[in-house]
Amino acid sequence: MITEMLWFAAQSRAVSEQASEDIRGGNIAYLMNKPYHYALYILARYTGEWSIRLPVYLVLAVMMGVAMVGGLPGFGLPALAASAVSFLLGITVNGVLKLCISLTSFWVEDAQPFQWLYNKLLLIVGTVFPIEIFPEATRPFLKLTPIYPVCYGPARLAVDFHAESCLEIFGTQILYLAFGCALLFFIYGKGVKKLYVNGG
Amino acid sequence: MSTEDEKRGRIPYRVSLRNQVRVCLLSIKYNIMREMLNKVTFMTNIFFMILNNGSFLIQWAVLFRLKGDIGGYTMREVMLLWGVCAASYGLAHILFARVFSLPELIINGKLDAYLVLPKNVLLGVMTSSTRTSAIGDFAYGLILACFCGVGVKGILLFLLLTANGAIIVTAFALLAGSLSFWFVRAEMFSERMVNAVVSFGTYPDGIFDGAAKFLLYYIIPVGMMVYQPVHILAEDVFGSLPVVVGYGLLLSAAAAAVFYRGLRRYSSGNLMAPRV
Repeated sequence: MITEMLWFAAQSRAVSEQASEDIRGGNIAYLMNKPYHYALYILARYTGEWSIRLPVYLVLAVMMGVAMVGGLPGFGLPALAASAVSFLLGITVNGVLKLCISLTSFWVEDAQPFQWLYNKLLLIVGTVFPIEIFPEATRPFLKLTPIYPVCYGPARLAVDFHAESCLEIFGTQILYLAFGCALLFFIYGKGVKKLYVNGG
Repeated sequence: MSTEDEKRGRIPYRVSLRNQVRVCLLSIKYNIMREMLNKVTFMTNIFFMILNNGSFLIQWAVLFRLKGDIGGYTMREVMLLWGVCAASYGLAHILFARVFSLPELIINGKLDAYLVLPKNVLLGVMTSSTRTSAIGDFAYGLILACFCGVGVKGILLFLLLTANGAIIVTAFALLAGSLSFWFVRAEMFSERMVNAVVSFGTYPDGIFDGAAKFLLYYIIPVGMMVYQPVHILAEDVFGSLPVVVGYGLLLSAAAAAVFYRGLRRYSSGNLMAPRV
């Protein structure tokens, strides 16, 4: 329950609502003419939002974890450094994927329903329960979904640090980031060509 | 109309009340019709909200696989809990969605448009918008109630308790939102309190005790909105039904009183904006 409350409180508005509202309301007509890429602008706003929230919720989450479970055995400086990099990569991958969903507003007008499903997938499968709880047949499939690079992988790295798993998680996150960015620019390019602005 | 009333140009209270209710029902009808203009978006919102709520059942299915009962609840009671909570929340947002953004109206001076209309201010504000996804919440609650096998009598009781729950959460949101007449930052407080109702309302009350239980029954009205109705439906015990309904009516009266008290302090924001 506390995990859920922290999860909902830490949600960012920029990638999930701002982009959809700009496209639906027509504000994108002003923003796409600026001398910067609109998608990168939204990602920069998203970075600003989580930069402020991350320290607060990190402290809360660490306090909660230590109070309920205790310290993490074997958590040293290498694990801390690897976890920090992995968390930042996971946050970025999550932002890129959520922005891809928001940009589908060029076609479906309201992308909120898809955001709900994506958020619930990450919360229920990736955050509240580890992948190991689910049937063994589903685990390879779950590892291919965004759950692994965004939440399960970084959390696993913090709890059980190994050099091999570190390389696997970093590799997955970098691949997802590259794929996500390519998809983002593709969707934006297609959407802008489709854009029909009503004057007034 | 009496001759005396005709002379003074007054409308009898009974006719005035009937007109106000008629206007409110028309407002709700036109709100929903406006949302239905884009049918694809309308149906997508409803369907995906049902899926969104249904995903939490995965969480509970996994938890009940690990432990037989949680806080004295089995899977059936948890489904009833989610059904009552989702349906009450959904019905409140279908009929009275604007109440949940009342602080924004007050702070930005947008109440002016409601003050000049020839209808009751509070009812006008409450029925001025609807949320499409709330229809999905209400439908989801009804589906769960049917799946729990409560029977026809149980469904009617479920609808009564849902209506009462919607009144309670609306009154609570109105009470918390009306604090914006006095405190600007009450917007954040109001939003957090309403979210707390939903968060706590989706977990069994058996996991709380002592001060937490008192808080959830009498301060944040989750107990009267969700827990007691679930006990009534699951255990077929009707003793607390008058208490639950009475609580809803009392809270509504208190919330309306606070709103009108705060309205005396309201001053226009002189904001020029189109209402579309």
